[in-house]
Amino acid sequence: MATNPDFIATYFPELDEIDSATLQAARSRVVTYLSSKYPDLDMRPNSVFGDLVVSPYAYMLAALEESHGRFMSDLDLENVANGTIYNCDFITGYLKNFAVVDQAHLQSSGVVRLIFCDDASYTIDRSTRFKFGDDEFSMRLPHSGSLSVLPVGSSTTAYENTYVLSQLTAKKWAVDVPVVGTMTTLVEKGDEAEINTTVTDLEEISAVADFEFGLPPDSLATLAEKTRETFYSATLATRNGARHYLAKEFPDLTGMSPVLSGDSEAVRDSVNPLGMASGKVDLHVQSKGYANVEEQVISIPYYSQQDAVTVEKFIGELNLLNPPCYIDSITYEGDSTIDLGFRTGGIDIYSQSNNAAKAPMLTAAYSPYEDLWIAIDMPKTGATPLITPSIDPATGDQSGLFRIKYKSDPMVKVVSDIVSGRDVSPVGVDVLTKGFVPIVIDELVITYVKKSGVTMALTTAKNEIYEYFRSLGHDKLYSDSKVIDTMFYAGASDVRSITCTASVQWSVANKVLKATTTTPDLDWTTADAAAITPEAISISSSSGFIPSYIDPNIDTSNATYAVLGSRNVGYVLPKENITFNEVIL
Amino acid sequence: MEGIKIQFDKGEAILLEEKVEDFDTTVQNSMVNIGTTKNTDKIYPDKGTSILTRATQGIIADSNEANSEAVIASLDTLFFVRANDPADKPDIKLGKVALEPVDYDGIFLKINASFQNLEETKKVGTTTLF
Repeated sequence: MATNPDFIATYFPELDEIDSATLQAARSRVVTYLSSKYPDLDMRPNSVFGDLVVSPYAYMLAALEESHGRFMSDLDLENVANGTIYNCDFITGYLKNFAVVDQAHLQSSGVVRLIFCDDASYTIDRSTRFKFGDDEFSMRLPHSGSLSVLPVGSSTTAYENTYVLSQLTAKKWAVDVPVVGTMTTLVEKGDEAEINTTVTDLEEISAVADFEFGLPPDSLATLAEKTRETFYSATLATRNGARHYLAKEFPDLTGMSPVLSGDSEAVRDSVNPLGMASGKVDLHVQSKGYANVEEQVISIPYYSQQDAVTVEKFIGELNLLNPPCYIDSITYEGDSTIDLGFRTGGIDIYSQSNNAAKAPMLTAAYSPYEDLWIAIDMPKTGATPLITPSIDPATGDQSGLFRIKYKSDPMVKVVSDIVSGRDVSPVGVDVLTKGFVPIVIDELVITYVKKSGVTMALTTAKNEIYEYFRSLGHDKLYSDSKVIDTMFYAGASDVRSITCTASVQWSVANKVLKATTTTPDLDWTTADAAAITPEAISISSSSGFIPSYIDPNIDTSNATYAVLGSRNVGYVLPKENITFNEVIL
Repeated sequence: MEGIKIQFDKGEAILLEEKVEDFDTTVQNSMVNIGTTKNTDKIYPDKGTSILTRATQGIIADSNEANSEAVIASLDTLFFVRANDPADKPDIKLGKVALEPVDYDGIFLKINASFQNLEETKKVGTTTLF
């Protein structure tokens, strides 16, 4: 049988906390109340009954009313979310009614990389557990059944847990899998795990990025805030419902922006052949692992000719573990000093949607629905090739190994898989999960003024500005004031200007292929001729950091469906690109 | 109006089986007020007087001092008790308080106290030994 709560121990104030005015008012009400029954009883101060019964009872009444107020405050989740908490045990149990659990029980989450020594098919039972130290994690699979790992180039099956391998190095292939579990010690990027079963060819299991505990330190206040946000709606069919669902299921997301039909950033609904707005939702997400640096060594076939047409390029599919948000570098694995002409015309990357009905053209960018093809010119000195392709003795095919260094957000694919599950996907609504469209800032110059004798903390300022840009994502929009405040705290007396060299990166690819266009590995000449280059948008000052653009060629043959607005804009700003310019008065 | 009786001359015992009535309740409350030290009741910080405290501190050095303190104590009592008297019972409302020091030997202060209701129809007098 449940015991009654001890209000005196939990909610009653100390007697000294109750002020005289409150006590007088309480005493007066007690006298009025009792006088209706005992009109002739002397309850005045200095009387025996008044001093020895009524006055003590006034203390009790005042304390009881204060405790009731405190109890009702604990029922008001707005107060709890603001940190006003009187009884932690009560609130912990209270929040359970909303399926919200405390820090002791809320699952931690992360992404593990399964690295195999062969490019083949594998089945991993759903009951498999990964152990980091004393902490155990299970796979977070969107559909019922076990995990099926398929070779490079395979097709996935809808509503099945199929993951396709990506080449990691010359002799390693990998797949990233989301996991959940109880974490007592932080699992950091690169930490290796043990597995409770044997999987053929599985060589290594490591954390892709730092795991998420699932809750910040002030758990009850944040839980209450999340409960207020999630209680009344947690589906993907509405904007707030989508936000609440994502906040509840993925607490490590730092940015989540649903774009619905009617928003300026919504272009997918324009392709409905009946001319009617269909139920389409774009979910832009960003996690704490955003801009996680990855490196893969990929074998890319070499074509001297295609159909008797001279090509002399390495052409292949860029099969990356996670949708990239920025490519740092592409180098030849045999000699990284060879200039391949990355970003100077020697390399073209093509974007092509693998599901044109769901995500046509650039709407697939930064999503798992974007296929990337790369074409690397054979570097030469004069007429002499600098790379000698490897030859497969069995087939005679030529290829080369290239190291791709890129940034990605490992949670984009995780969220995409989860929301596509039968139990989550809303009926009649087409949900597309992807990252934000980034503005790539090649240089950010902050011109400031400082008084003589002041030592500037520029390293701290650089770190804070870097983290600030990294955390941006709707509804956290860019503001100059944040950068200016950072400079003031670093010692500046004034900020004269914030200028930049930046551009919108519609995709990590520089060209877009229609879904019907042949792929470059089959016919590069035709593919390149048919490719569309999206409009370049340059930005030279911080006032352009919240742009507004929509492809003017939508519904024409040259449409790329490029669109940018406050709901889908993101930023890539490498720390080394932040520079300071001091003005000396 | 009726209340529980206090027997002042025998150790201030509370006589639960006896009661005071009408104006006597007011007189009893006033007597308690005189002997209560100010600022000892959080609900009514101005309840009581300072005469007992000042006497025990040795501030009352002679009869002049005693008269002065007695007047202050009588006013304090009059104002406080009257402020808490029931408005619907005018016959028991306190009208006057008189405190007259009659003997002081440096150790004991003897005061005659008398009380009169507001309608001046009842008067009660007693003495208190400090």
